[in-house]
Amino acid sequence: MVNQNIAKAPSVWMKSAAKTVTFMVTEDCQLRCHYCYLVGKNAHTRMDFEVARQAIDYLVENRDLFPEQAIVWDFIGGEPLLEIGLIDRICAYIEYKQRQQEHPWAESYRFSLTSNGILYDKPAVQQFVAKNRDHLSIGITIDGTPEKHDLHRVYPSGKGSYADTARNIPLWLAQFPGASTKVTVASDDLPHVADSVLHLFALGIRHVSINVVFEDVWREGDERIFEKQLLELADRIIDGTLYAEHTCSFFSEHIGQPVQDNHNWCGTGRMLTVDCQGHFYPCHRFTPFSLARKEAITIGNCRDGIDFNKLRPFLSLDRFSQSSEACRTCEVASGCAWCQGANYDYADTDTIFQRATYLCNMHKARVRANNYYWYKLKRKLASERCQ
Amino acid sequence: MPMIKYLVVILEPAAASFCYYDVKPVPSSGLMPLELLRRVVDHAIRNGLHINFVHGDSPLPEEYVRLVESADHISIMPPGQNPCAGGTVLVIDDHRLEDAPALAENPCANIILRVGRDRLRQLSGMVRQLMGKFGRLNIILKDLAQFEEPELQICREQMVVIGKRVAAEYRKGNFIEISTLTDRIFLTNMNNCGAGVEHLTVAPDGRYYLCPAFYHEGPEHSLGAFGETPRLENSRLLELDYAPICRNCDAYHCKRCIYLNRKLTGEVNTPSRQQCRIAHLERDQSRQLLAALPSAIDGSEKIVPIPELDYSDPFEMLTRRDIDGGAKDRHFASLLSRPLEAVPASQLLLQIYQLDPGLLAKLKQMTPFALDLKPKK
Repeated sequence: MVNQNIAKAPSVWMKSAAKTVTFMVTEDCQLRCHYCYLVGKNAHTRMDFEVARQAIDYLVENRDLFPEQAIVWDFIGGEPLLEIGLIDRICAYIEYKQRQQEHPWAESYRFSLTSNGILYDKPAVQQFVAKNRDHLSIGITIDGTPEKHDLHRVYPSGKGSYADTARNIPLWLAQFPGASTKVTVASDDLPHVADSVLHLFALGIRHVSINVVFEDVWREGDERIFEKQLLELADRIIDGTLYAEHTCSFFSEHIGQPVQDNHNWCGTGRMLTVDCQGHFYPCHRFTPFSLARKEAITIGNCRDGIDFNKLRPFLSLDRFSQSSEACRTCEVASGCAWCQGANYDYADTDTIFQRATYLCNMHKARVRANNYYWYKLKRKLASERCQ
Repeated sequence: MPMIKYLVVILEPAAASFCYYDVKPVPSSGLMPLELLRRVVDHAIRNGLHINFVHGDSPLPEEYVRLVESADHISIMPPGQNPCAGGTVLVIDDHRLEDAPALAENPCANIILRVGRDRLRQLSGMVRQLMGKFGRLNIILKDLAQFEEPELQICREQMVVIGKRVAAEYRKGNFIEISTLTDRIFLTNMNNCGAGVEHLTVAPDGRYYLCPAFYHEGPEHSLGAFGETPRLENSRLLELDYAPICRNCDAYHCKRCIYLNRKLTGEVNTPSRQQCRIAHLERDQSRQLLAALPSAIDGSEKIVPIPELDYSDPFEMLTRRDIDGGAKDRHFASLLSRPLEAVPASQLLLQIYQLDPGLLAKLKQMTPFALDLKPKK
């Protein structure tokens, strides 16, 4: 349905034309969020600049291996802003190296950070923002209402972090007006979903990217609470005409149909993650730091480069090979997400070819609420056109 | 649980390697316990399984020989052993070729020749040395995991020389088989190792393994004790349908070695670059050999020419960004359906109906031009 009265989520810069390279610059974080998949947080492991330099040299000097037209240099942690000095030095070296090699990326690159926002107003961070404003994206994670946010996003003491994050949202939105936030929903915060999305809209965040966790956390009856929350959210977005300027990724016109293609859902393997020791991974979910049950899968390191044999399974993954018969023939499969790292962590053997399907009932609940949302919205818009 | 058709039974820890793996020194020595062998043979007979016995250099005592001969079997053994009744496959390692006792002329013999990286340049010479002594020669490039461009180039040169010799033999009416050159010519579907799908291995330690290579990797790779149901989790990944690269490939003779897959790519269903490159190199040499022999082969009118490809690894084609998904689908569909091209459509549709009647309905749904859309008068 094309309708100028409905806001659209911001498009991804260069989409699949860009390579994303993620530096895990630290394993430290001020918070101990309950749902965080990073299981090995510590205060002593940080990336050395030399490691980053070797990785950048390898990537920029091997154009034949990395033919993408554009690149996103992404920084995560832990909490990346704890290492803003290091990130600043790495970014300066990236710009120097791209120019020195006359690489096409010099004209087509972005820096990207994902942060808990606590340090956002600090002078060093603000200097970094000012210096790189033209090619910088920063995402701040805020989970919704103070009640929902503080349920999981807590300091080691157990104290919630809402106030310290929310304090910086106005500054962040002033500098990045179209920015979206990423919200994670687990079992015990389901009753807060509707209020939380609306709270974020009220804070001025117009685009809320939200998903339920992939892990084995869902309990009997959760899907009913979830569906009820989404129906309430649908009513409040439509009745309040919030759809004209806001988006919530739970509602999409493209979900809930049988799937006709055989593509993999996630971009693992096309991305590259570098950890503090300089090991390469197909994405950050395959680092030792992110896996609870399985050994990490490295695909090389910054000194020897990529082992392309290790990359082949990731690049040849398709929907059919990793899905059960039930998933392959599911009538509402489109939009049903999976995380390759979580799949691997939960698989019966050491394979990435087995989908974890813990969120099956949650997806079906989402599809029912989504059908309701679009049905009601279309009728409302049609009725307005007739008047 | 897949339909296992035969068991590979390793009679002693140091039994000869007949494939890519190396036999690693193991603490225990001696033959598989007689009682275990008796149970294995009994199990095979009761379940209609054939057995491939893998022998070492130790001569079998009389009671072992009686047991081995009581089952339908093939014996895979190094030269110098006394062949048992039943089929025998001789395994010759390149470094033992000169030491091996002179092999008798035997146009029916089945030989496995294992060649290492350091002797690749002598491959065609080894084949020449063995001419007249085999009806089928299976060539195993035992260091394939370490192959890079120089080794592949040597293989190509050696295959050209061997191909000329094979062509000459075919023109004389001597239809010898050399796995890397002639198998692809006669195949219309994947015909691979089949470990875990068609066969399982029972080792002297009394455990099941996917194949002998996993036995030599250590007991942690075991599928459980013989006598219990083998633990084959995610066994679908051993099947062709669940191997995204292989199911789009027509190098039908490829070993698709799950041990090398696991070792080099981390996944049993994903071949390494080395496996794909060598299989395509052999495929291309087979293509050239077939093209040079238009009518020398019996039944040649039924043999489908092997198309020339502009890639040497199907993974390259699958991941190319300059070709859209539809064009790739058309390419792979054309490649894989080539042996069916001459079959009348009505015959194909009948076969589809016999296989899965529901598939006809799906085909009709997907093919709108089959509908009569003319307005009714």
